[in-house]
Amino acid sequence: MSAAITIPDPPAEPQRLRENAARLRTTAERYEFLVTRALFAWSLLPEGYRAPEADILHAALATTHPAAEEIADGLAAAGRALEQFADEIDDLARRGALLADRWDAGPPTDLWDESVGGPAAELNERRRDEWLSGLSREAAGLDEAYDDASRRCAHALRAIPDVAWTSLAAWSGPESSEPVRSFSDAAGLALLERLSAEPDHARLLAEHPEWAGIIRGTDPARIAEWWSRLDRGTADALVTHAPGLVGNLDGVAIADRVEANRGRASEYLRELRSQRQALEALRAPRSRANALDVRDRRAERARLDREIAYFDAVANGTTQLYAWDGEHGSLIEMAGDPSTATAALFVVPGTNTDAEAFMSEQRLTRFADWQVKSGGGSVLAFTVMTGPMPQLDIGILRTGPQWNSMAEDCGRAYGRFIQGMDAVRPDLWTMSYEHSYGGAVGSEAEKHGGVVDTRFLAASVGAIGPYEPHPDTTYFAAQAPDDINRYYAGVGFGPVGFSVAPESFPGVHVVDTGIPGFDPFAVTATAVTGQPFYLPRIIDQSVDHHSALMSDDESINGKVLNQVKQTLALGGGNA
Amino acid sequence: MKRRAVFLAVSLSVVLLMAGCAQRPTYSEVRQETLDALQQVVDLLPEPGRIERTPEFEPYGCDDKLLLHSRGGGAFYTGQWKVAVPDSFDVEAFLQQLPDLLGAGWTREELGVPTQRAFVYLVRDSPRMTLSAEQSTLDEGKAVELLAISRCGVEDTSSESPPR
Repeated sequence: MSAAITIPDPPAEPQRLRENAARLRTTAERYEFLVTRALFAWSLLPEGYRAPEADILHAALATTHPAAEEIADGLAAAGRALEQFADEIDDLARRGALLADRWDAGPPTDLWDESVGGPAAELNERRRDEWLSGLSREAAGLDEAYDDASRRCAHALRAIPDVAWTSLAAWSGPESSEPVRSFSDAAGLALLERLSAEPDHARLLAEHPEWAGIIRGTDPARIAEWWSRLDRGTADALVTHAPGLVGNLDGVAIADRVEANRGRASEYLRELRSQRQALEALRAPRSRANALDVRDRRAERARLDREIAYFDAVANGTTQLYAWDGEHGSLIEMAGDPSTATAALFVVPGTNTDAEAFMSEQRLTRFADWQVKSGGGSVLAFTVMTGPMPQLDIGILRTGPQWNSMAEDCGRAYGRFIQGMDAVRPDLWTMSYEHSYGGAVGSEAEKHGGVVDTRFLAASVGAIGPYEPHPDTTYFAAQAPDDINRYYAGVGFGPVGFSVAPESFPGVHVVDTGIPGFDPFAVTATAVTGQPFYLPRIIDQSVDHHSALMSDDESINGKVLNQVKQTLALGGGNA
Repeated sequence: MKRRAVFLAVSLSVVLLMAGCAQRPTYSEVRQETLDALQQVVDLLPEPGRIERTPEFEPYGCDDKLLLHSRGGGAFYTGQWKVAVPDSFDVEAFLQQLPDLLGAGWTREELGVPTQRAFVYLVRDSPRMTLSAEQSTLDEGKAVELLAISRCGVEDTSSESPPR
């Protein structure tokens, strides 16, 4: 034999591939089951034990559930790809075995006899050559087929949906200065790194709608550190192309957030104006039965006009939005100049706060604006609505201020807001002015790590018990004594009410408003007994107080405005 | 008998409420009252220097729920002036004497919170006004800062609201 051929070896052993695939399949099934069971057991824990740090751990573990699903699906898909690969190798190996048999059988025997004469030897030689080149071709074809099978398997493995989580678990930031402590922080930071590395931020966020939630769950201090490391070009690109995320992300620099929301406002204005035009284009209803329609349409038009005016002011920079997230019901307006400020005031309004309260003629931000203006550049103020607040309206039974769950939800978000502010401006002295239900929001925020230097509870409902004041915070409480909140502050059970009244916070400074209050006993007695016996006493007092208030309300309001102004000046001066 | 007492009390309260409502001043009146009060303090300073007036505040509605006593309608005026005084001037002593210097009707009240610098908080009964005065700085020299808040005035439709 003058030449030899090489029959290619299979790229893997099908038997071992199948064993591994089977192992993956069993693991995948058990994996998801185990994580679900672990989460179930974990979710029962708060019934027996509840501490502030438990919430963080709880949140961290809860995020593993979607990850478990993704990982289990990924493992199963990998198993399928490997089994397919093994089957293909088996088929090809049979082809290889046949080829080897033919090779082993040796070249074809001579067909032409020398005795015939002529080119018999030449013809026989050509026949052997043809046999050899045929085998070589087939061997090369087999080699290619093996390669194709390997490629198909690799392709199938790559086609498994991009499991962000698997890469995240092992991720540690290339430039991170300290190890990341929590799993959810690691996840959020990894996604942020990916996001900033990708040129098309908007597409990436649209393709992975779950990312925004994971990123927002990341520690604001970690986000602040990451944002400060970004080069200006990348930061600007994120502000422009991912404004919904950047404009609401605690830990991003103040000016960048405001700029992101300004961009969104311009965009949103177009939508509002076309809505307004569409409303204008509607034909006027003729029949009398449509009178209600006319009224509704008029109200809708007025509402749209207010909203357009508001976002016009945002778009032209007169109004600065620090957060605006309709999906989560948050809206935070900023007043003042961050570059000259030494103190930050967070105004947390209470019951009946909604987005329209920011846009109405009697704006909700007046208190904050007044403090900024009288503070002469040293005060940066935020009017904060971190989520839906209770409403005194038709739905009072369902969404009234007697329920404390809204305080829990808003409090968690307010806590993150405070942490975000601490992360981006640790130099600012901070004060939280909390009105009515806002007091409970501030108390909940504290339980989630949102700690300020001073809290001023104005006509506040107090806190959901059990409550411990923070040792680094100074507390002031001012009450209008006949405030409606007086009748249920300090009374609570389960999801209803606030069991710790602000005056009973240990160490609180109760600020005198100078006006005697109603007698809660008389009011309660009247309400409970239904007897008018106590009524004269109440009316008597209310007349007295009303007369007093006719002249005194300015001094009470003036006092509160001054108390907050002086406290900000003192804190900001020492910051 | 009891019913009559209740009736009388209710009637009395209605009368008092209506009487109170009828006497409300206009915003321009309360604005002028505030400016007059500020000028009154400036006139008491022996050698007042440059006055820096904070650009006018937007009228602050008296029905702001964020305040402790919100009352429907009207707005109050805020005036804030910084008045330069000679460096030799004893601001603290002046603030101590201010209630007496201003005369009858003005009383000193405790604000109830610690302050950074010398500070006095004054209230006038009629027409109602709150005035705080504190030591401050202007043009790197000594100054007295005044902040006056008027009673509620009904906003007159003719007047344009000042720029924000």
